[in-house]
Amino acid sequence: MPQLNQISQRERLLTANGLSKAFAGVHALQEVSFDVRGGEVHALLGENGAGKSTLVKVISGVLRADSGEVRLRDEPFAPRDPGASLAAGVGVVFQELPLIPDLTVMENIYFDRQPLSPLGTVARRRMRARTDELFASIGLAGINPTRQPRDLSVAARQLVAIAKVLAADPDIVVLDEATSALGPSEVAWLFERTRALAAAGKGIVFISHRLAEADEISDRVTVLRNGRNVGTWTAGEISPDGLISAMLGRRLEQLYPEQHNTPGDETVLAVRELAAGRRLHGVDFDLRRGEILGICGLEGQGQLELFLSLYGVIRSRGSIVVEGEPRRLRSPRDALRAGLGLALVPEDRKNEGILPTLSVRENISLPSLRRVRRLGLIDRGAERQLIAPVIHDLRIGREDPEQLVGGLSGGNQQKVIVGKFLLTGAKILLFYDLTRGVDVGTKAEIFKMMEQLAAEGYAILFYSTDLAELVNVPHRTCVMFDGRIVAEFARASAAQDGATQEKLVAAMVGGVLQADEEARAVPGEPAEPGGQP
Amino acid sequence: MTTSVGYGAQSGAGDRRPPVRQVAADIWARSRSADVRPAAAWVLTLILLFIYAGLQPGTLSTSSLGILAADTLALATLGLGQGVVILTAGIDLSVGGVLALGTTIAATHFTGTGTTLLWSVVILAIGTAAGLINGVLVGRLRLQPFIVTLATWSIFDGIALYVLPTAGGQVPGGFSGWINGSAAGIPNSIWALIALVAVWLWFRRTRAARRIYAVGSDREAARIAGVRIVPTLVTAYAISGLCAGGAALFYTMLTASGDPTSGDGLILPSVAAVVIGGASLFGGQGSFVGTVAGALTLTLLGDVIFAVHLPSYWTVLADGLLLIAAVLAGTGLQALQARRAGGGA
Amino acid sequence: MTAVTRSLSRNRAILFGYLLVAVLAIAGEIVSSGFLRINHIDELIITGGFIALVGVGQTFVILTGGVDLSIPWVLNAAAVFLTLWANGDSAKMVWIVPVLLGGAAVIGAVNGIGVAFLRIPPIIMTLGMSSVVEGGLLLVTNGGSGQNAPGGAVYLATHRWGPVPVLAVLWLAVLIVSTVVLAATPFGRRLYATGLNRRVAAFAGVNTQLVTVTVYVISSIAAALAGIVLAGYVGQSYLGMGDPYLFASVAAVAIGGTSILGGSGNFVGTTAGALALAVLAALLPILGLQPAALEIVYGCVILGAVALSSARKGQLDRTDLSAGWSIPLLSRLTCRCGLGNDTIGT
Repeated sequence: MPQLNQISQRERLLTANGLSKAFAGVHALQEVSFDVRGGEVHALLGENGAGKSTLVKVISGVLRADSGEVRLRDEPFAPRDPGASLAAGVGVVFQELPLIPDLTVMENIYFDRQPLSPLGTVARRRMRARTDELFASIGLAGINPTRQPRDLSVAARQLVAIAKVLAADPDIVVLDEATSALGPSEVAWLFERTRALAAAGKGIVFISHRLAEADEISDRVTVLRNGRNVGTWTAGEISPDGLISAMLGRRLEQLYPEQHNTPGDETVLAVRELAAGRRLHGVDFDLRRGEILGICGLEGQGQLELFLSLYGVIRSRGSIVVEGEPRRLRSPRDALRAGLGLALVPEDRKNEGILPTLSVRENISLPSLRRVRRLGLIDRGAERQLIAPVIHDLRIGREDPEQLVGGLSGGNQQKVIVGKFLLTGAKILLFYDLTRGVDVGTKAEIFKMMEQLAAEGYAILFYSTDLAELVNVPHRTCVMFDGRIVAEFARASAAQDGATQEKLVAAMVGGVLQADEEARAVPGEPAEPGGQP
Repeated sequence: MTTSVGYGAQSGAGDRRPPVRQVAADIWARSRSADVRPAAAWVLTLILLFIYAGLQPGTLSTSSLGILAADTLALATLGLGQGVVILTAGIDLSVGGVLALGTTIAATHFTGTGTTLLWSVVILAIGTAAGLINGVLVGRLRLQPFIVTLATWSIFDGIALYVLPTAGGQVPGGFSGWINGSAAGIPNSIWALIALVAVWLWFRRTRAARRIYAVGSDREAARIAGVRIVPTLVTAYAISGLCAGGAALFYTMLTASGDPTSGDGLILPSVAAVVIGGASLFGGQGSFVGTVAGALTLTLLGDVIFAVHLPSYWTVLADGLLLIAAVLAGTGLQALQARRAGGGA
Repeated sequence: MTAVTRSLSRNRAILFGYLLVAVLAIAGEIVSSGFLRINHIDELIITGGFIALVGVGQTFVILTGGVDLSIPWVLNAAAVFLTLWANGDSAKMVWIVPVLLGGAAVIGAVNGIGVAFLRIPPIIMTLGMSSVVEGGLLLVTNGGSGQNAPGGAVYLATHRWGPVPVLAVLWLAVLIVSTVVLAATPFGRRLYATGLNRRVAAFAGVNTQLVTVTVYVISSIAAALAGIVLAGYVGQSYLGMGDPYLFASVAAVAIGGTSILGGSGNFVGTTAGALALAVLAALLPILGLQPAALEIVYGCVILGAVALSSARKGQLDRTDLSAGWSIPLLSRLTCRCGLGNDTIGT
């Protein structure tokens, strides 16, 4: 690893000064300054919602900052879009992997820069040759350039997205959660490329919420918390604990609520051999009254199918028994009648569970209109009476039923979604990644609400991509891999052998490791467990 | 250095397979993609052609095929433009109005060779301008394509009514005769179709066309990849307008007169031709090669109905049913492909 | 914000619609005095009434984010069959009218099933059905036309109780019923939810397929009713009598402030739109413009109304590329398998 003085002598390639960006009252970035130097790998760490992706989007032109500026080698840098950014030498591999579905891999890689024939048409053979060269030069094999993204696995798509940026030979490469879908050997490959690029004088920004990965690869580390830059250190200058406390601030204790209730004995949801779609192959579990059961897993291991089949959105096989009664859940209506409710992950500024232009009252009462119907019409008085206790108990916003849901904060919007289901008499709540991209304050609210609900006897199935949450919030956590449950851990505080983030990752990734070893025997490849948190 | 990252059965394992198996594998891969649908459309066309040939001897002669091509030319040209717009996940209802306007202008202004040439260019320009207007409204103001083109359809129909209130007018014999003539033993109408297909085969490989495909395939991904959405959409609608103008010229050749209501009955067939040809209404998939087959299918359907002495109203009915059936077949096939294709989110 | 001011701001678009009617009416009076005498107002109401009748169906459909292009031919078919079967005998209307409305309901149901269950985009489905109905009608009548309308229909269309046309009363009844249904019934609430965000509505337990089928059924029934009354007004049926009502129905809905994307608006606005169009149609000849001008005006009006409405809704910040940037969760699962990617005319 390079020494401190070596880095400080390197050229500053990209500098961001005082960037601020706010969305609907949420301050995603507050006066953030940041720089990238030639030849370094600079890790950008932070929790979900700390502002890492926002910073990247501002730098690459997807978003315009409210204030502050970015400079590329001392020239003002404000690309119109990521294409322009790439052309200027700043390449970003986004978390969401925006590949164009109907174009082939090679067309995606060279999009809008395709080699042309004299007639002005795309020269396919040359493009193919260039793609093959590119893949060879960066050590990527086994992806057919004439396939379309839909024919590739998630990991393969991530590799294509990375290749696309590398193809343009940018001076700065930003990798935003580039390892989220990759297995250990692919992560190893990526690290190899990263080091090679740094050695060639490029500046790499490596964004992750996995500490151990960042630790392994980076020369410098910057931590963002709540939209602010809380510090930049060289590798080795700060301990992992120091990093964690920088990422979480002093609120670690306050983030997760007091856990005093224990689940009852009664099983409210019993699932046997539940399979659905292409990725859920058969899960068994029991959920008890007042219990929070965590689900954990890499993307695409069947957890989405699990939640959607429990809510009747997709067809499933196997048995679902709710409060002792076997149920066939073929639509959300069936699920609602059986006492289930589903809240999905909120996306950027949209939320898949609310109607923002309608009021709190209209949103909450929507599934329960039958209860306030008199002579075919909606009885407004009865409606208000029905929702008042829900608004009060969950403390939704100003407790004004006529408030438009679109104007509420993220946490309150989640409460509206949950309130909707409480009113239908739901006993079992399905929470899918509720806390992704949500700021710490809102997260605390959500955890408090979950604990409160559990204390009142609701059973909660909780999927999260944040390992720290899974260790601390659910009573126990099941790890999914390849459509099945492969491990189960009790809450960290409850038992000696309780969950830790390392154990969860090992289970999540251990499944991958095993499959890798079985699938290929590649000589000279040490089987290294991939990123630790 | 070569860290091998393999993907099991899904990889087309580079150059490790013998060439023949590689080619076969590639063909299999392509057949799982949208390419199979234009081929299916051509199969349908050929089936209808042979049915018609059975009913009407002499169909397969060059001159009869030339007539078939002549009858199809206007629709095919409309379909070329409509197809480009549908690639962007839009729709262009105003092609009916532009075509009507074109025929009425032609019927009132084509007096001699000079004026015919001049006003032909004007008609093409008007069509392009109409498309530009549509494109700006859809792209810049972000209004829904169907409502914008519904409105402009009405506007252009109205202008056409001003130009020529009732069907009539006339065009020079030389102009209308061209479509029945031939050169080097091949009817001009067939030359025209070949030319259109050739233009398409060139166009679809240009970067502009790739951008149009990208915008329709996934607008956000295209935006991130640097595509300027507004100019791309404007281009697509402008092309549609230009084609509608061209279609007006072909139509006038065929009918040798103008008709302000001529466009209305061609809108559905233009969309149907594109859909039968295998395009996806959600954008990103489709080719004029298929659209030509779709247009021929529709024309042949009408001919077959005539040949079995059914009243021509059956054509209207059949066109509607065929459109719905083609859309269903398309979505069905897409769902099937998705189920077979591996990978996932 | 009090309830009253909140309601006013939500309905700003509708107020604009009525403002437009007033402005046009006054302009008409200025250009040609006597424009606003009772007799003429009655005629305007009758013209507007037909637009309103087809407009109510179109309103319901557009509120769910769709469109119904089959209205003209359903209207025409109802008119033709009425005159054909009644053959001048009003008594037969007792069974003819229910049969016609029932048949229309079937056509609407087919439209709705295609859109809701087969995921066919509404433009395509209704465009296709329009051809099917047209073709079917042509076949049955063999291209002929012009039967005389039975007296009952004529009564409905032209009779007046004092100064008030019967049609106006019908219009008022439709206005009251539709407004109550939309604003105060569970169905109305579910309809708006479906139009705002189909997925959220479905997850909240709304039967979005039923809602969708219902609105297309309503639209076809309204179109058939309009055809019956129109036949009475004209005195006979003929092919093509439904043609002007496609643009008119969409224009009336657009002027009335209903969003083309669905989820907001109501028939009170469409009523204003119908009145505005009726006044316009009467104004044009006075200004010396040919009938062709009306088509041009329809088009411009639709464009203007839609552009205004989207400007008012505050378009997404155009400097912000990230608008709409996220990939909705469920499309990650279904990944462009033809599900949930509705853009055409939805």
